[in-house]
Amino acid sequence: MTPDEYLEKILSAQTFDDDDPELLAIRQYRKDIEAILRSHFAKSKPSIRWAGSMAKETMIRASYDGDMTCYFPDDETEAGSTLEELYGACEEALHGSYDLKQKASAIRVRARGGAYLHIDLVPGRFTDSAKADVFLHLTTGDKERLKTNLDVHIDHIRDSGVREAIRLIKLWRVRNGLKAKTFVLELLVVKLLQGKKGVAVAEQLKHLWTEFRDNTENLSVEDPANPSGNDLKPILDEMRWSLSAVARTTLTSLEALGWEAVFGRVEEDDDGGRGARVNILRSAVHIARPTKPWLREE
Amino acid sequence: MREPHLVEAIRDDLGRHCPSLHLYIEKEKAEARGTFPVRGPEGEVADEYLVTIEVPSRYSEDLPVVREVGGRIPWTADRHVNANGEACVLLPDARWESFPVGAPFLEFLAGPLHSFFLGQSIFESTGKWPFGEWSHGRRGILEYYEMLLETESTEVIAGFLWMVSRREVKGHWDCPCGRGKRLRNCCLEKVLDLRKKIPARIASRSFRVLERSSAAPAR
Repeated sequence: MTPDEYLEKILSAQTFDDDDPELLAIRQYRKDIEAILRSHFAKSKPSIRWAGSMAKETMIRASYDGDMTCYFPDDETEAGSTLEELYGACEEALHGSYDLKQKASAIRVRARGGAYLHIDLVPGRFTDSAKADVFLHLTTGDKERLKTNLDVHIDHIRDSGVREAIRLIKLWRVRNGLKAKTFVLELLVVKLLQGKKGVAVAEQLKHLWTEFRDNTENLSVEDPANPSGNDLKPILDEMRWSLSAVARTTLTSLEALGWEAVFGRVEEDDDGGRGARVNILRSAVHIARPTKPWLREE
Repeated sequence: MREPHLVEAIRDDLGRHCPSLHLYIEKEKAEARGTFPVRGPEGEVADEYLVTIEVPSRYSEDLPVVREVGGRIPWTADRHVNANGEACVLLPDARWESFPVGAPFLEFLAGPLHSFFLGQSIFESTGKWPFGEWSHGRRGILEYYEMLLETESTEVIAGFLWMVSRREVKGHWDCPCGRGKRLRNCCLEKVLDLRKKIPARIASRSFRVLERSSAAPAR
Protein backbone atom coordinates (compact mmCIF):
# COMPACT_ATOMS: atom_id res chain seq x y z
CA MET A 1 0.00 0.00 0.00
CA THR A 2 1.41 3.40 -0.95
CA PRO A 3 1.34 6.25 1.58
CA ASP A 4 -1.49 7.92 -0.31
CA GLU A 5 -3.52 4.69 -0.42
CA TYR A 6 -2.96 4.33 3.31
CA LEU A 7 -4.04 7.94 3.97
CA GLU A 8 -7.11 7.47 1.79
CA LYS A 9 -8.13 4.51 3.95
CA ILE A 10 -7.52 6.52 7.10
CA LEU A 11 -9.71 9.31 5.75
CA SER A 12 -12.36 6.84 4.70
CA ALA A 13 -12.47 5.46 8.26
CA GLN A 14 -12.88 9.04 9.50
CA THR A 15 -15.81 9.77 7.19
CA PHE A 16 -19.38 9.41 8.37
CA ASP A 17 -21.92 7.58 6.28
CA ASP A 18 -25.08 9.61 5.87
CA ASP A 19 -27.00 7.24 8.13
CA ASP A 20 -24.28 6.90 10.78
CA PRO A 21 -25.85 6.88 14.27
CA GLU A 22 -23.36 9.51 15.48
CA LEU A 23 -24.22 11.81 12.60
CA LEU A 24 -27.94 11.26 13.05
CA ALA A 25 -27.55 12.00 16.76
CA ILE A 26 -25.82 15.32 16.19
CA ARG A 27 -28.34 16.30 13.51
CA GLN A 28 -31.17 15.52 15.91
CA TYR A 29 -29.34 17.45 18.61
CA ARG A 30 -29.21 20.48 16.35
CA LYS A 31 -32.90 20.06 15.46
CA ASP A 32 -33.85 20.10 19.13
CA ILE A 33 -31.81 23.23 19.81
CA GLU A 34 -33.14 24.91 16.68
CA ALA A 35 -36.74 24.15 17.69
CA ILE A 36 -36.23 25.86 21.04
CA LEU A 37 -34.56 28.89 19.44
CA ARG A 38 -37.22 29.24 16.72
CA SER A 39 -39.97 29.01 19.29
CA HIS A 40 -38.25 31.48 21.63
CA PHE A 41 -37.39 33.96 18.87
CA ALA A 42 -40.48 33.44 16.67
CA LYS A 43 -40.73 37.11 15.77
CA SER A 44 -37.02 37.64 15.22
CA LYS A 45 -36.60 34.87 12.64
CA PRO A 46 -32.89 34.29 13.20
CA SER A 47 -30.73 32.56 10.59
CA ILE A 48 -29.91 29.14 12.06
CA ARG A 49 -27.52 26.96 10.09
CA TRP A 50 -24.53 24.69 10.39
CA ALA A 51 -21.14 26.32 10.73
CA GLY A 52 -17.72 24.80 11.47
CA SER A 53 -16.63 21.44 10.06
CA MET A 54 -20.16 20.37 9.17
CA ALA A 55 -20.49 23.36 6.80
CA LYS A 56 -16.90 23.23 5.58
CA GLU A 57 -17.07 19.47 4.98
CA THR A 58 -13.97 18.83 7.04
CA MET A 59 -15.59 16.68 9.71
CA ILE A 60 -13.72 13.71 11.15
CA ARG A 61 -15.03 10.94 13.38
CA ALA A 62 -12.30 11.49 15.95
CA SER A 63 -13.68 14.94 16.76
CA TYR A 64 -17.09 15.74 15.38
CA ASP A 65 -18.88 18.18 17.62
CA GLY A 66 -21.17 20.54 15.74
CA ASP A 67 -21.23 24.32 15.35
CA MET A 68 -24.36 26.27 14.47
CA THR A 69 -25.28 29.90 14.07
CA CYS A 70 -28.12 31.96 15.43
CA TYR A 71 -27.78 35.21 13.52
CA PHE A 72 -30.42 37.91 14.03
CA PRO A 73 -31.44 40.47 11.38
CA ASP A 74 -29.68 43.84 11.60
CA ASP A 75 -32.87 45.73 12.39
CA GLU A 76 -34.20 43.25 14.90
CA THR A 77 -34.12 44.38 18.53
CA GLU A 78 -36.77 42.28 20.21
CA ALA A 79 -34.32 39.60 21.27
CA GLY A 80 -31.89 42.27 22.47
CA SER A 81 -30.61 45.66 21.45
CA THR A 82 -26.93 44.92 22.04
CA LEU A 83 -24.82 41.95 20.99
CA GLU A 84 -24.35 41.06 24.63
CA GLU A 85 -28.11 41.02 25.11
CA LEU A 86 -28.53 38.74 22.08
CA TYR A 87 -25.93 36.37 23.48
CA GLY A 88 -27.73 36.44 26.84
CA ALA A 89 -31.10 35.89 25.19
CA CYS A 90 -29.80 32.70 23.52
CA GLU A 91 -28.48 31.50 26.88
CA GLU A 92 -31.84 32.33 28.43
CA ALA A 93 -33.68 30.35 25.75
CA LEU A 94 -31.59 27.21 26.28
CA HIS A 95 -30.64 27.17 29.94
CA GLY A 96 -33.74 25.27 31.04
CA SER A 97 -32.95 22.35 28.74
CA TYR A 98 -29.15 22.13 28.53
CA ASP A 99 -25.90 22.68 30.37
CA LEU A 100 -24.32 25.83 28.93
CA LYS A 101 -20.78 27.13 28.99
CA GLN A 102 -19.59 30.49 27.67
CA LYS A 103 -16.86 30.33 25.03
CA ALA A 104 -15.13 33.29 23.36
CA SER A 105 -17.98 33.98 20.93
CA ALA A 106 -20.08 30.82 21.24
CA ILE A 107 -22.25 29.11 23.80
CA ARG A 108 -21.33 25.47 24.34
CA VAL A 109 -24.59 23.56 24.55
CA ARG A 110 -24.26 20.18 26.22
CA ALA A 111 -26.98 17.67 26.99
CA ARG A 112 -27.51 17.23 30.72
CA GLY A 113 -25.54 14.18 31.78
CA GLY A 114 -24.13 13.75 28.28
CA ALA A 115 -20.39 13.46 28.56
CA TYR A 116 -19.25 14.07 25.02
CA LEU A 117 -21.81 15.37 22.55
CA HIS A 118 -22.09 19.11 22.37
CA ILE A 119 -22.86 21.87 19.90
CA ASP A 120 -21.29 25.32 19.91
CA LEU A 121 -23.98 27.88 19.18
CA VAL A 122 -22.71 31.20 17.81
CA PRO A 123 -25.16 34.08 18.33
CA GLY A 124 -24.67 37.22 16.24
CA ARG A 125 -26.32 40.03 14.33
CA PHE A 126 -26.05 40.74 10.61
CA THR A 127 -24.35 44.06 9.96
CA ASP A 128 -26.88 45.02 7.26
CA SER A 129 -29.78 43.74 5.19
CA ALA A 130 -27.45 41.87 2.81
CA LYS A 131 -27.15 39.26 5.56
CA ALA A 132 -23.52 38.46 4.84
CA ASP A 133 -21.26 40.09 7.42
CA VAL A 134 -22.05 39.49 11.06
CA PHE A 135 -21.05 41.00 14.39
CA LEU A 136 -20.39 38.49 17.18
CA HIS A 137 -20.30 39.26 20.88
CA LEU A 138 -16.94 38.46 22.52
CA THR A 139 -16.99 37.25 26.12
CA THR A 140 -13.22 37.46 26.58
CA GLY A 141 -10.40 39.82 25.60
CA ASP A 142 -10.31 43.58 25.11
CA LYS A 143 -12.71 43.79 22.20
CA GLU A 144 -16.46 43.56 22.70
CA ARG A 145 -17.37 42.47 19.20
CA LEU A 146 -15.91 40.75 16.17
CA LYS A 147 -16.91 41.17 12.54
CA THR A 148 -16.99 37.97 10.54
CA ASN A 149 -18.59 36.27 7.56
CA LEU A 150 -19.50 32.60 7.68
CA ASP A 151 -19.80 32.14 3.93
CA VAL A 152 -16.35 33.60 3.33
CA HIS A 153 -14.93 31.13 5.88
CA ILE A 154 -16.81 28.19 4.41
CA ASP A 155 -15.78 29.01 0.84
CA HIS A 156 -12.16 29.59 1.87
CA ILE A 157 -11.90 26.07 3.27
CA ARG A 158 -14.36 24.13 1.12
CA ASP A 159 -12.92 25.48 -2.10
CA SER A 160 -9.31 25.35 -0.95
CA GLY A 161 -8.52 22.17 -2.85
CA VAL A 162 -6.71 20.81 0.22
CA ARG A 163 -9.60 19.51 2.32
CA GLU A 164 -8.02 16.05 2.58
CA ALA A 165 -4.89 17.54 4.12
CA ILE A 166 -7.05 19.69 6.42
CA ARG A 167 -8.95 16.65 7.68
CA LEU A 168 -5.75 14.67 8.21
CA ILE A 169 -4.13 17.56 10.08
CA LYS A 170 -7.22 17.77 12.26
CA LEU A 171 -6.87 14.05 12.96
CA TRP A 172 -3.17 14.55 13.70
CA ARG A 173 -4.09 17.31 16.14
CA VAL A 174 -6.56 15.04 17.97
CA ARG A 175 -4.21 12.05 18.07
CA ASN A 176 -1.47 14.19 19.56
CA GLY A 177 -3.58 16.09 22.08
CA LEU A 178 -2.80 19.47 20.49
CA LYS A 179 -5.09 22.24 21.64
CA ALA A 180 -4.52 24.25 18.47
CA LYS A 181 -7.61 26.20 17.37
CA THR A 182 -9.20 24.41 14.40
CA PHE A 183 -9.96 27.66 12.60
CA VAL A 184 -6.35 28.84 12.73
CA LEU A 185 -4.97 25.40 11.89
CA GLU A 186 -7.19 25.23 8.80
CA LEU A 187 -6.02 28.66 7.65
CA LEU A 188 -2.41 27.59 8.17
CA VAL A 189 -2.89 24.48 6.07
CA VAL A 190 -4.51 26.43 3.22
CA LYS A 191 -1.78 29.06 3.28
CA LEU A 192 1.17 26.65 3.52
CA LEU A 193 -0.20 24.45 0.73
CA GLN A 194 -0.67 27.27 -1.74
CA GLY A 195 1.11 26.09 -4.86
CA LYS A 196 1.07 22.47 -3.64
CA LYS A 197 -2.51 21.51 -4.43
CA GLY A 198 -1.47 19.02 -7.07
CA VAL A 199 1.05 17.30 -4.81
CA ALA A 200 0.28 13.92 -3.21
CA VAL A 201 -1.39 14.21 0.20
CA ALA A 202 1.48 12.40 1.91
CA GLU A 203 3.89 14.99 0.56
CA GLN A 204 1.55 17.81 1.55
CA LEU A 205 1.53 16.55 5.12
CA LYS A 206 5.31 16.20 5.24
CA HIS A 207 5.61 19.75 3.93
CA LEU A 208 3.24 21.05 6.61
CA TRP A 209 5.04 19.28 9.45
CA THR A 210 8.40 20.45 8.15
CA GLU A 211 7.13 24.04 8.10
CA PHE A 212 5.67 23.67 11.59
CA ARG A 213 8.96 22.26 12.84
CA ASP A 214 11.46 24.50 11.10
CA ASN A 215 9.64 27.71 10.44
CA THR A 216 7.35 28.04 13.40
CA GLU A 217 8.40 31.58 14.33
CA ASN A 218 7.51 32.89 10.87
CA LEU A 219 4.10 31.27 10.53
CA SER A 220 1.29 33.77 10.08
CA VAL A 221 -2.35 33.70 8.99
CA GLU A 222 -5.11 36.20 8.48
CA ASP A 223 -8.86 35.88 8.82
CA PRO A 224 -10.20 35.94 5.23
CA ALA A 225 -13.45 37.48 6.46
CA ASN A 226 -11.77 40.25 8.44
CA PRO A 227 -8.05 40.55 7.64
CA SER A 228 -7.45 43.81 9.47
CA GLY A 229 -9.94 43.51 12.32
CA ASN A 230 -9.31 40.01 13.61
CA ASP A 231 -5.73 39.63 14.78
CA LEU A 232 -4.98 35.90 14.89
CA LYS A 233 -1.35 36.32 15.94
CA PRO A 234 -2.01 35.88 19.68
CA ILE A 235 -3.80 32.58 18.99
CA LEU A 236 -1.00 31.45 16.72
CA ASP A 237 1.61 32.49 19.26
CA GLU A 238 0.04 30.17 21.82
CA MET A 239 0.28 27.27 19.36
CA ARG A 240 3.78 27.77 17.97
CA TRP A 241 5.83 25.80 20.47
CA SER A 242 3.53 22.78 20.60
CA LEU A 243 3.01 22.71 16.83
CA SER A 244 6.75 22.65 16.33
CA ALA A 245 7.44 20.07 19.04
CA VAL A 246 4.73 17.68 17.92
CA ALA A 247 5.67 18.07 14.25
CA ARG A 248 9.26 17.18 15.15
CA THR A 249 8.18 13.99 16.91
CA THR A 250 5.84 13.12 14.05
CA LEU A 251 8.52 13.48 11.41
CA THR A 252 10.90 11.37 13.50
CA SER A 253 8.27 8.64 13.97
CA LEU A 254 7.36 8.76 10.30
CA GLU A 255 10.95 8.29 9.23
CA ALA A 256 11.67 5.53 11.74
CA LEU A 257 8.39 3.62 11.80
CA GLY A 258 6.26 4.69 8.85
CA TRP A 259 2.78 6.15 8.50
CA GLU A 260 1.09 3.77 10.93
CA ALA A 261 3.08 5.37 13.73
CA VAL A 262 1.39 8.66 12.86
CA PHE A 263 -2.23 7.73 12.15
CA GLY A 264 -2.51 4.17 13.45
CA ARG A 265 -3.49 0.90 11.85
CA VAL A 266 -5.88 0.56 8.98
CA GLU A 267 -8.51 -2.01 9.84
CA GLU A 268 -9.01 -4.10 6.72
CA ASP A 269 -11.49 -6.77 7.81
CA ASP A 270 -15.27 -6.55 8.13
CA ASP A 271 -15.39 -6.22 11.89
CA GLY A 272 -13.10 -3.21 11.90
CA GLY A 273 -10.12 -5.31 12.97
CA ARG A 274 -11.72 -6.27 16.26
CA GLY A 275 -11.15 -10.02 15.89
CA ALA A 276 -7.47 -9.68 15.07
CA ARG A 277 -7.05 -7.08 17.77
CA VAL A 278 -8.58 -9.25 20.46
CA ASN A 279 -6.32 -12.16 19.53
CA ILE A 280 -3.25 -9.96 19.92
CA LEU A 281 -4.54 -8.52 23.17
CA ARG A 282 -5.34 -11.96 24.59
CA SER A 283 -1.79 -13.04 23.96
CA ALA A 284 -0.57 -9.89 25.71
CA VAL A 285 -2.20 -10.63 29.05
CA HIS A 286 0.71 -12.75 30.25
CA ILE A 287 2.49 -9.74 31.65
CA ALA A 288 4.70 -9.88 34.67
CA ARG A 289 2.94 -7.62 37.17
CA PRO A 290 -0.54 -6.70 36.01
CA THR A 291 -2.54 -4.28 38.10
CA LYS A 292 -6.25 -4.40 38.79
CA PRO A 293 -8.55 -1.38 38.37
CA TRP A 294 -10.45 0.09 41.33
CA LEU A 295 -13.07 2.79 41.75
CA ARG A 296 -12.87 5.58 44.29
CA GLU A 297 -16.62 5.98 44.47
CA GLU A 298 -18.83 3.34 46.10
CA MET B 1 4.86 20.01 38.91
CA ARG B 2 7.54 22.62 38.44
CA GLU B 3 10.83 20.71 38.58
CA PRO B 4 12.43 21.02 35.11
CA HIS B 5 14.28 17.71 35.47
CA LEU B 6 10.99 15.87 36.07
CA VAL B 7 9.41 17.55 33.07
CA GLU B 8 12.31 16.49 30.88
CA ALA B 9 12.31 12.94 32.30
CA ILE B 10 8.59 12.56 31.59
CA ARG B 11 9.03 13.96 28.08
CA ASP B 12 11.83 11.45 27.44
CA ASP B 13 9.71 8.56 28.70
CA LEU B 14 6.75 9.62 26.58
CA GLY B 15 8.93 10.05 23.51
CA ARG B 16 10.30 6.52 23.89
CA HIS B 17 7.14 4.65 24.84
CA CYS B 18 4.29 6.71 23.37
CA PRO B 19 5.46 9.08 20.61
CA SER B 20 1.92 10.36 20.04
CA LEU B 21 1.52 11.34 23.69
CA HIS B 22 3.02 14.74 24.55
CA LEU B 23 3.57 16.65 27.75
CA TYR B 24 2.09 20.15 27.62
CA ILE B 25 2.69 22.76 30.32
CA GLU B 26 -0.15 25.27 30.39
CA LYS B 27 -0.75 27.74 33.21
CA GLU B 28 1.76 25.79 35.34
CA LYS B 29 -0.29 22.64 34.88
CA ALA B 30 1.46 19.65 33.35
CA GLU B 31 -0.68 17.35 31.26
CA ALA B 32 0.19 14.62 28.80
CA ARG B 33 -2.31 14.40 25.95
CA GLY B 34 -2.59 12.26 22.88
CA THR B 35 -2.75 8.61 21.90
CA PHE B 36 -1.87 5.82 24.33
CA PRO B 37 -0.87 2.58 22.60
CA VAL B 38 -1.85 -0.84 23.94
CA ARG B 39 0.87 -3.15 22.77
CA GLY B 40 0.83 -6.82 21.86
CA PRO B 41 3.47 -9.38 22.90
CA GLU B 42 5.87 -8.33 20.13
CA GLY B 43 5.52 -4.65 20.97
CA GLU B 44 3.12 -4.03 18.11
CA VAL B 45 0.32 -1.52 18.65
CA ALA B 46 -2.83 -3.62 19.06
CA ASP B 47 -5.18 -0.88 20.22
CA GLU B 48 -5.18 2.82 21.02
CA TYR B 49 -6.92 5.23 23.35
CA LEU B 50 -7.10 9.02 23.31
CA VAL B 51 -6.14 10.13 26.79
CA THR B 52 -5.17 13.00 29.02
CA ILE B 53 -2.82 12.33 31.93
CA GLU B 54 -2.63 15.18 34.41
CA VAL B 55 0.64 15.19 36.30
CA PRO B 56 -0.25 16.46 39.78
CA SER B 57 1.69 19.20 41.53
CA ARG B 58 2.77 16.63 44.16
CA TYR B 59 3.97 14.13 41.58
CA SER B 60 5.20 11.48 42.16
CA GLU B 61 3.69 11.26 45.64
CA ASP B 62 0.27 11.70 44.08
CA LEU B 63 -0.74 9.47 41.18
CA PRO B 64 -1.30 10.92 37.69
CA VAL B 65 -4.96 11.60 36.89
CA VAL B 66 -6.01 9.72 33.75
CA ARG B 67 -9.00 10.39 31.50
CA GLU B 68 -10.00 8.61 28.29
CA VAL B 69 -11.22 11.46 26.08
CA GLY B 70 -12.08 9.71 22.82
CA GLY B 71 -15.58 8.86 24.00
CA ARG B 72 -14.92 5.12 23.81
CA ILE B 73 -15.10 4.18 27.50
CA PRO B 74 -18.34 5.10 29.27
CA TRP B 75 -18.02 6.97 32.56
CA THR B 76 -19.51 4.16 34.58
CA ALA B 77 -18.51 2.17 37.63
CA ASP B 78 -18.35 -1.14 35.78
CA ARG B 79 -15.63 0.38 33.53
CA HIS B 80 -13.78 1.80 36.56
CA VAL B 81 -14.34 5.40 35.55
CA ASN B 82 -15.64 7.89 38.10
CA ALA B 83 -18.60 10.14 37.28
CA ASN B 84 -16.19 13.02 36.59
CA GLY B 85 -14.37 11.00 33.92
CA GLU B 86 -11.32 10.13 36.03
CA ALA B 87 -10.16 6.58 35.46
CA CYS B 88 -9.35 4.50 38.54
CA VAL B 89 -6.31 2.90 37.01
CA LEU B 90 -5.19 1.20 40.20
CA LEU B 91 -5.74 1.09 43.93
CA PRO B 92 -3.34 3.68 45.38
CA ASP B 93 -2.52 1.37 48.31
CA ALA B 94 -1.22 -1.21 45.83
CA ARG B 95 0.94 1.21 43.84
CA TRP B 96 4.15 0.12 45.57
CA GLU B 97 3.93 -3.15 43.62
CA SER B 98 4.01 -1.51 40.19
CA PHE B 99 4.69 2.21 40.46
CA PRO B 100 6.24 3.17 43.80
CA VAL B 101 6.76 6.80 44.76
CA GLY B 102 9.84 8.11 42.94
CA ALA B 103 9.69 5.55 40.11
CA PRO B 104 10.16 6.80 36.54
CA PHE B 105 7.02 7.84 34.64
CA LEU B 106 7.75 5.05 32.18
CA GLU B 107 6.87 2.53 34.90
CA PHE B 108 3.43 4.09 35.16
CA LEU B 109 2.94 3.96 31.40
CA ALA B 110 4.20 0.42 30.94
CA GLY B 111 2.72 -0.89 34.19
CA PRO B 112 -0.62 0.27 35.61
CA LEU B 113 -1.71 2.35 32.62
CA HIS B 114 -1.01 -0.42 30.13
CA SER B 115 -2.77 -2.99 32.34
CA PHE B 116 -5.76 -0.65 32.63
CA PHE B 117 -6.23 -0.06 28.91
CA LEU B 118 -5.38 -3.62 27.94
CA GLY B 119 -8.04 -4.64 30.43
CA GLN B 120 -10.49 -2.14 28.90
CA SER B 121 -9.91 -3.54 25.40
CA ILE B 122 -10.47 -7.10 26.55
CA PHE B 123 -13.47 -6.14 28.68
CA GLU B 124 -14.96 -4.39 25.65
CA SER B 125 -14.81 -7.66 23.71
CA THR B 126 -15.43 -10.26 26.39
CA GLY B 127 -17.06 -8.53 29.36
CA LYS B 128 -14.28 -9.84 31.60
CA TRP B 129 -11.30 -8.16 33.27
CA PRO B 130 -8.21 -10.20 32.38
CA PHE B 131 -6.43 -9.43 35.64
CA GLY B 132 -9.50 -9.16 37.86
CA GLU B 133 -10.73 -5.97 39.50
CA TRP B 134 -11.01 -4.53 42.98
CA SER B 135 -14.47 -3.83 44.30
CA HIS B 136 -15.42 -0.18 44.36
CA GLY B 137 -14.62 2.25 47.16
CA ARG B 138 -14.22 0.98 50.73
CA ARG B 139 -14.88 -2.65 49.84
CA GLY B 140 -11.95 -2.66 47.41
CA ILE B 141 -9.61 -1.25 50.03
CA LEU B 142 -10.68 -3.95 52.45
CA GLU B 143 -10.22 -6.68 49.82
CA TYR B 144 -6.67 -5.53 49.22
CA TYR B 145 -5.65 -5.45 52.87
CA GLU B 146 -7.47 -8.70 53.63
CA MET B 147 -5.18 -10.29 51.07
CA LEU B 148 -2.05 -8.40 52.11
CA LEU B 149 -2.46 -8.85 55.88
CA GLU B 150 -4.18 -12.24 55.67
CA THR B 151 -7.04 -11.18 57.89
CA GLU B 152 -10.74 -10.60 57.44
CA SER B 153 -10.99 -8.25 60.41
CA THR B 154 -11.72 -4.65 59.46
CA GLU B 155 -10.59 -3.63 62.93
CA VAL B 156 -7.18 -5.25 62.48
CA ILE B 157 -6.76 -3.70 59.03
CA ALA B 158 -7.70 -0.26 60.36
CA GLY B 159 -5.23 -0.74 63.21
CA PHE B 160 -2.36 -1.48 60.82
CA LEU B 161 -3.33 1.45 58.59
CA TRP B 162 -3.37 3.77 61.58
CA MET B 163 0.18 2.73 62.45
CA VAL B 164 1.36 3.17 58.87
CA SER B 165 -0.13 6.65 58.82
CA ARG B 166 1.70 7.82 61.97
CA ARG B 167 4.86 9.88 61.85
CA GLU B 168 6.52 7.19 64.02
CA VAL B 169 5.57 4.01 65.82
CA LYS B 170 6.38 3.01 69.41
CA GLY B 171 7.22 -0.52 70.43
CA HIS B 172 5.12 -0.30 73.58
CA TRP B 173 1.91 0.29 71.66
CA ASP B 174 -0.65 -2.49 71.57
CA CYS B 175 -0.18 -4.61 68.48
CA PRO B 176 -2.97 -4.05 65.91
CA CYS B 177 -3.27 -7.79 65.19
CA GLY B 178 -5.46 -8.28 68.29
CA ARG B 179 -3.35 -10.94 70.08
CA GLY B 180 -2.98 -8.62 73.08
CA LYS B 181 0.80 -8.24 72.90
CA ARG B 182 2.99 -5.17 72.68
CA LEU B 183 3.92 -4.19 69.14
CA ARG B 184 7.64 -4.85 69.75
CA ASN B 185 6.84 -8.39 70.78
CA CYS B 186 4.45 -9.12 67.94
CA CYS B 187 3.98 -7.54 64.47
CA LEU B 188 6.58 -4.73 64.55
CA GLU B 189 8.41 -6.11 61.50
CA LYS B 190 5.15 -6.36 59.57
CA VAL B 191 4.26 -2.77 60.44
CA LEU B 192 7.73 -1.51 59.46
CA ASP B 193 7.52 -3.41 56.18
CA LEU B 194 4.12 -1.88 55.43
CA ARG B 195 5.46 1.60 56.25
CA LYS B 196 8.17 1.08 53.63
CA LYS B 197 5.63 0.09 51.01
CA ILE B 198 2.60 2.26 51.61
CA PRO B 199 3.01 6.04 51.86
CA ALA B 200 1.60 7.53 55.08
CA ARG B 201 -0.82 9.79 53.18
CA ILE B 202 -2.35 6.85 51.34
CA ALA B 203 -2.62 4.81 54.53
CA SER B 204 -4.19 7.77 56.29
CA ARG B 205 -6.75 8.23 53.54
CA SER B 206 -7.68 4.55 53.54
CA PHE B 207 -7.86 4.57 57.35
CA ARG B 208 -10.34 7.45 57.18
CA VAL B 209 -12.44 5.56 54.62
CA LEU B 210 -12.58 2.53 56.92
CA GLU B 211 -13.15 4.72 59.96
CA ARG B 212 -16.32 6.08 58.41
CA SER B 213 -17.87 2.67 58.95
CA SER B 214 -18.96 1.63 62.42
CA ALA B 215 -16.78 -1.48 62.35
CA ALA B 216 -13.55 0.52 62.41
CA PRO B 217 -11.98 1.35 65.76
CA ALA B 218 -12.01 4.87 67.16
CA ARG B 219 -8.43 6.03 67.75
